[in-house]
Amino acid sequence: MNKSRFMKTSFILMLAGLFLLSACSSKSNQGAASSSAAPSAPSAASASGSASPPSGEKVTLNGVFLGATWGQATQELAKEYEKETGVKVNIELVGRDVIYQKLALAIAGQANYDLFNVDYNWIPEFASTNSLLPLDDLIKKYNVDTSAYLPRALALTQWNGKNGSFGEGGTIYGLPQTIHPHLLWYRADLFNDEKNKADFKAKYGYDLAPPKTMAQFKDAAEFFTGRAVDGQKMYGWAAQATKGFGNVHTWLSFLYSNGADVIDWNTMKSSLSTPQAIEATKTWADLLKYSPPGINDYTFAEVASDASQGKIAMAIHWSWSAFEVDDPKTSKTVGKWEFAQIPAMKESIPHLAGWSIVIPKTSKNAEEAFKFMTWLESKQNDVKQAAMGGGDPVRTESYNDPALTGAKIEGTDVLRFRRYQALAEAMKTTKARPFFPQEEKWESTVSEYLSAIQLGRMSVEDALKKADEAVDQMLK
Amino acid sequence: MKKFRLARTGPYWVMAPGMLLLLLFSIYPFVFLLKISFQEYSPISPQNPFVGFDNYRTLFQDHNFWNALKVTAVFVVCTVALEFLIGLGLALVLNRLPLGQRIFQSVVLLPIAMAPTVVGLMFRFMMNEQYGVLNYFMELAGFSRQAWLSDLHLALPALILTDIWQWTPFMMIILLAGLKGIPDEPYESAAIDGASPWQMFRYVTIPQLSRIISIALLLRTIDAFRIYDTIYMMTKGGPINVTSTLSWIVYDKGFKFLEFGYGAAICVVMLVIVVTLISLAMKRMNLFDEGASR
Repeated sequence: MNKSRFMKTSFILMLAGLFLLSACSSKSNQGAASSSAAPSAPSAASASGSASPPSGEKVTLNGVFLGATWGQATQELAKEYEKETGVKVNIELVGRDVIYQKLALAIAGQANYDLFNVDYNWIPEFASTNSLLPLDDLIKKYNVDTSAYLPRALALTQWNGKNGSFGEGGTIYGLPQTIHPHLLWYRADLFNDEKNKADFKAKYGYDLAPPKTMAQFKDAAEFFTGRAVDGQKMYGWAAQATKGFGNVHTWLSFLYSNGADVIDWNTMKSSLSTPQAIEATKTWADLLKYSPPGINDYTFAEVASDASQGKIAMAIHWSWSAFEVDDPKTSKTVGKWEFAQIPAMKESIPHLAGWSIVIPKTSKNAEEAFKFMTWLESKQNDVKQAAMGGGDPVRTESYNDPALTGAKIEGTDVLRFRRYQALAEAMKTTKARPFFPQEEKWESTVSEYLSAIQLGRMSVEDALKKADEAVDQMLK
Repeated sequence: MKKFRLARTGPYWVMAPGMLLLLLFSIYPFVFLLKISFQEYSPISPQNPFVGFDNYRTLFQDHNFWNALKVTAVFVVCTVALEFLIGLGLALVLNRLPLGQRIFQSVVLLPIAMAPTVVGLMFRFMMNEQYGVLNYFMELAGFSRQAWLSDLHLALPALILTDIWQWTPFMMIILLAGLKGIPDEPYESAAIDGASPWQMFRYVTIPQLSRIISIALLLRTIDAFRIYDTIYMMTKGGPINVTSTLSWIVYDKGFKFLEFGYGAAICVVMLVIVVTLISLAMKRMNLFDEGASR
């Protein structure tokens, strides 16, 4: 009896202790979080001042970057930076999801990182919780000329507290590292082929040319689907279409180009059931029949792979990915692709992708991190990153730099960065993903309904109506 | 007297380090999980207020949760049943293999040694509609190509197939160990009584193996409930949400959107389901009942 009472008492005490322990740990977290989220954000200079290591101490920066080409370029350039300044920069290359998780951990004070390569849609989310270091004071202190950056690239790193598209005029929370708007990719050799031209004209009554409108795009996609080129069956076009982010990213270019927006920013209500949105979605879903089998599972890797293997005549794809079709080691279509603006419905407004670099507020070396960031995105290194095969440049002048504009694909006379002209043009009209803190969740919600449309489970109208309801529920 | 006291307290001292580790790595995280399931908890949020049963209320009204529960149930039942049947068949064959038993065992065990992410990626390539080797053989056999991972009716079977490929050897090796442990005498007696091979299997092998079967089924059920890595690599819960399991939505809510409180509520419900199922199964199988082992 005594033994049983002893066991019961011990168990209750243990449980109580554990509850106390968990409550304490959560309180300490909250304390840390609330101190970092003080109502008036400390100035960057003071934040960095308090966060700078004592003079004479050797600084090591820890950064987390995407394991893409620009992340690899950063890793290489970090070695040069160490030689120049003595500051060691450790760059971890990881996947997108892992960056997000590590950034959250760093913000919660449970991981020690100074730099993060972020997808721009995270900036409103983390800036609105006061978790990122505002850079305006440091920019002033080090006299960084932000006007040298492409305006829409810089706007991806700003947050003005207002939901919408871009954070223009807001606090700068990072520097852009690479941008890649959607472009129309087309096989110039097929579009210039005399037989194709004659056949196309006979069938559609006008000349075969890179499509400028969505109607022309449909004709060209239909024309090339099923044609044999070099013994291979061709498909009209491809684009990312997988559930998750792929389908949303492609669909946004159609939506924007038809004058629609996804949310009414004044009322903060989902606006996916407008006639423009329905028309754009129908056009996108209908065009998928001219894509290769399995298109509903296509990520950007499959699009690039089909393009380099010569299976498609056109693609609506990121500008940056073009390096893959020009790689003589893996591509059968080196130098055969050209790039233009995505076809217009009402106008051509491509969806913009881009990655930036930010400093979490918890960084212990914020000022040193800022110096590395500005060095990495300087005039010289913006060009260098592109030349190394990193991302597309973020500074306006880089697009006219002879080191890039004159560069040729090894062993050919084809310009390596021939996409830049179309890219620079696209950057004048391009539009970002909805710029608000819940963007990631919004994409995930909408993606499921788009997937239902693609698989014929729902009509466009029904799916968009349901998506509207789900988004409104999410925004409550 | 001293000896008597030591004999009484000794076992507790021996157990103490283990208990401490259990406390730190199992019980404390569980209590923490339980606590945050009643909070609107996010690691980046300045405040994590207690919201009572709100997370649970939202969860039970969320169609994604009910869909995930259904998908998980189908996945667990199909994988565990098929892995058991195939594993038992393989174990019986291996047990009677006169030569090369060890080599065969090592080869068959390879899938278990592979990381689920690697297996997922491998099957993603193999099931690719255009380049996949599976469709190549389908065509050779006169069937048409299939969009294994993006077809509404094939995506879940494709995941089940992948899981069967990886985990049937686990089932097989446990059952094989059980078969090796059955003495010859019962078979000899059955043979003298004129039992047919089927009767021997039904009335000697299965009863002798029953406890091993129970353990194997139990372990695989617990593991199948947690499937996540393969889904991440192969379908990401799609198409639409036909491969979205409970673990997948925990990841979606918890790690993708940092809604730790809501994610924790799903985990708690998952835990309740698994523990209930296992307790019922263990009670029915008399697994840890001393009398039953005799």
